[in-house]
Amino acid sequence: MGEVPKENSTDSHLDINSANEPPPLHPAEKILATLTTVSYRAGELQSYLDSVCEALLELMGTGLSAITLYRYGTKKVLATKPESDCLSCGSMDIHGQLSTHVLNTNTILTVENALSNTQYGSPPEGFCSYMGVPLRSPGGEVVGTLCYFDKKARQFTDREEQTAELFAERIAIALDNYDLFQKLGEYSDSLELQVQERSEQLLKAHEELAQKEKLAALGEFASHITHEIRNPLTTIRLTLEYIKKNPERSPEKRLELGIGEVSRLERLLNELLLYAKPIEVNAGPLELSGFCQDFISTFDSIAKERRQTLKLLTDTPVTVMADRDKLTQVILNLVRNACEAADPEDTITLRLGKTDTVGRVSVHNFGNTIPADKLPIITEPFVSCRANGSGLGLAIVESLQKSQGGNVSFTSSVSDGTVVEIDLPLAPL
Amino acid sequence: MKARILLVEDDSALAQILTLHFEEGGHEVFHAPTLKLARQLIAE
Repeated sequence: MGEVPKENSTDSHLDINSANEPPPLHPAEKILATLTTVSYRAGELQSYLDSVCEALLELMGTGLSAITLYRYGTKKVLATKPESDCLSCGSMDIHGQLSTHVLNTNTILTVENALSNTQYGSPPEGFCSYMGVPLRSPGGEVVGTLCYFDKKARQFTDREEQTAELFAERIAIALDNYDLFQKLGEYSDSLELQVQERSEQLLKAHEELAQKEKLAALGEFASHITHEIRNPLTTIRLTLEYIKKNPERSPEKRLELGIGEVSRLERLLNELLLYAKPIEVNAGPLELSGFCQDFISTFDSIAKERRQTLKLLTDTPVTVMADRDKLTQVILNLVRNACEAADPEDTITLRLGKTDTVGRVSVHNFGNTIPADKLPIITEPFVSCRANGSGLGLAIVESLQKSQGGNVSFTSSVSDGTVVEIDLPLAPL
Repeated sequence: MKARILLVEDDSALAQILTLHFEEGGHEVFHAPTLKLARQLIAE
């Protein structure tokens, strides 16, 4: 640090002399200490300006320090020390006096005795000398002044002017920061408002889209249902019309077809109900080997109708968390499909297995395969590989599986046949 | 006048009853489960 020059007599206000107190700070140290303690943080502008006025007063003497603002054509006293009612109420128009010169010239003005030298204006009542420093924004614009009035005539040293300039620079930065802070707040509010508006618009658009999708899905569903119902109805109508027109002829074959179509409609409605109604799951530990044996005992007739065989392969006990009734419906749909796809006298195999997390039932059959283009969509409603299939069986399977926290997957090829894997969470040990 | 009818249809009840209807009317009914097979039948 360079040598600090000795202060002249006009700097006596910067000295602190007291025999009982620690050695006084050097004036330069005091300025530095003051500048260090006065800081602008968190947008508290008024307290900052007050503290700057107070610090300036402490360094300069017992007069009056003031910060004035001139912006957008408005004159305002931002802070004074000591606080002055007449200043805050605006009765003392500082800008109309000495400060106006500082504002207009953008330079420091010091007046030793403004009472005798009135070319720059008159000081407030009770004061004699004046020092004014312009507050310059980062853009160079003069936005106000930092003023000091002393009660007696005095000169101001270069050091005092430099100190005042340092304070002025800090004040200007603080004012600029404050403006930025305010603008940022306004921008933030505006942005928040925009985000809120956009979010509402997005939500509305999303709801409209969801509604449209819902209607589209409903339309597609209705279209499928209509198709599924119209065909059997046409068959039944043709049968009845035939009987009416040809009472003497035997309608045996047609009646058989018509009754079959009535059964088909019944099945369709049952499946629709099963698919559409909410699923209530009562899952509990279910040992798969015993369950599958019971299943085969109960539903073996489905395979026997086509002289087919249901076979169970199991290596290890597997206990899953499942709803017995739901799983029965799942396996029933799969076994029924497998029997219809397989050739007469074929074997349909149920194989049990497990991984670290799931228990598995695989239903396997040879015979008609699922076309590759239908595999990815085979569980969608009304997708079927059979002429008289409703296309709801596998959709129901998937729905029931999901309701139990499980999964269903399909593979199908001529060489390996068709395998449907039913995964369910393993029961805790 | 006898017609030769090609049903591009699977073995559904509706297809069967239509077949009965046409055959009793003296028409000749052919079945083709797919369009591809239907084209082959027409070519023959």
